[in-house]
Amino acid sequence: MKTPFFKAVLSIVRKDLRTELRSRELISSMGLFALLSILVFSFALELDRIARQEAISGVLWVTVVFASFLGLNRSLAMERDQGNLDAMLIAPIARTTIFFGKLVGNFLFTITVGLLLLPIMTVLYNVSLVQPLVLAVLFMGTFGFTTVGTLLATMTVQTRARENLLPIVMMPLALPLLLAAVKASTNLLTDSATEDWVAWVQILAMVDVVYLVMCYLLFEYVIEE
Amino acid sequence: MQSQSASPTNVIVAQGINKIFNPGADEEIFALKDINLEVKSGEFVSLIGPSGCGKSTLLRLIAELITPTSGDLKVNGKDPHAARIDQDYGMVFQAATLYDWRTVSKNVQLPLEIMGYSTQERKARAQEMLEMVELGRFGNHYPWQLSGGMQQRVSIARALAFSPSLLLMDEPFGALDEFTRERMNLELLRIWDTTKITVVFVTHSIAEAVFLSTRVVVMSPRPGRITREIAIDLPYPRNFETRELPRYFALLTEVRELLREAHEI
Repeated sequence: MKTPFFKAVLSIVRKDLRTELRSRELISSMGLFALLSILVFSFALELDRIARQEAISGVLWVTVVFASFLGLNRSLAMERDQGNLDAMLIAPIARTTIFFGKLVGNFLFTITVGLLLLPIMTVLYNVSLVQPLVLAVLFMGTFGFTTVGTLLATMTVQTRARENLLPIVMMPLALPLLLAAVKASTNLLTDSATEDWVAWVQILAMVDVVYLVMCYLLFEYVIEE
Repeated sequence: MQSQSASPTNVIVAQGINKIFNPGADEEIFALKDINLEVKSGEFVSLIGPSGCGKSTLLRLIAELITPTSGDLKVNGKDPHAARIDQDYGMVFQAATLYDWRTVSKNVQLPLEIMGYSTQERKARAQEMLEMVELGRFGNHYPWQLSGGMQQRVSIARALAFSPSLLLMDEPFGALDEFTRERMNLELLRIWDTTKITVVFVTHSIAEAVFLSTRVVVMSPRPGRITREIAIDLPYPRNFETRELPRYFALLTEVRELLREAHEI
């Protein structure tokens, strides 16, 4: 008897959260990297207010993206190294539930780091990042990035050079998403804000949907081959 | 002693199975070629062959961890996907793959939890399984408090918790020392005798294959093919003395010769 879809997804998410609560392996490495990264940027970029407003979304996304590489690699590597991936694959569940379970887990870890960054960056750069629209863009961008990242990490984790390979294969694919996320947040944060952010948010939403559907369709093939 | 029914049914039927990794690419790997295999209910079949011959690949095909490139594979008369969903088989890997934060009992309960058993049923079944692998007192321990052999027994208990008709074992004792391995072999035979389950066992060890099996399937190096099958007619119950029988040594020599022949094909 097949386990219901949402129950299986929830079980995988709960497993990931419990593992993380006990080991704090992902959040600590991602968080520490992110914190160091924004500190270095804040020392390096001694900018005036306008320049800061224009640069800050770049700093935010570079930090979130590279922190998520760390998390995605570790999250899937742990599954493989501990034999969990095989155990999940022989469970009486639809294979796509593994994708959605891992996606939700990876998203929660990355968005936690992103949400922690916002108040810290607000203090360091003196630009208010805690705004509903910026939060919405952060959620959408992180979701898209972890969607494509979960699929690609499932592939690269099977290789020897997995840590290096993930950013290489992911960056070209994630480029439209990053472009839309950076443009939308820059437009929201600069004084000269125009209505352009609406178009970029729409593009971001569209890319999110396309990536989600593509990754959903490809996951079963990727995991079996 | 394991008793075979008068007309045992086929648990596994593989016909003309081929498995090619990266087909069409430069790095194409022909892993399995024209595999024909039947495993009857209650049998203990060992797959043996050199490293990279595709024994684990064949096991992973049966478990639907990968899919064949061509050929027909049936598990309990169903395609492997239906067999997986119906939980017709349990699987034991080389690593015990237990969750460190769950007690031994809770690890055994895991598949039952996924299947929606009640807490009471789960606990009772896990205890029953742990008694069977002689770890009844260790239900409240954590995996890291157990030895490698004990952890592997827990993983066998977990694989059997939902009463599958087939047990797939991928070099389960490969990481254990020789003494523990021999004890685990005896344990496994006892469990097989108690449960009457069909077992497909992948191993590198000729001694292990001969001691445990009713039939040994010899595979050639890549592309993996089944070159010979040999029925093991050692008497039951098998124990430490079995390893000193002249017939045991004769069978070891026979399997070794077959492996050498397979290597030369």
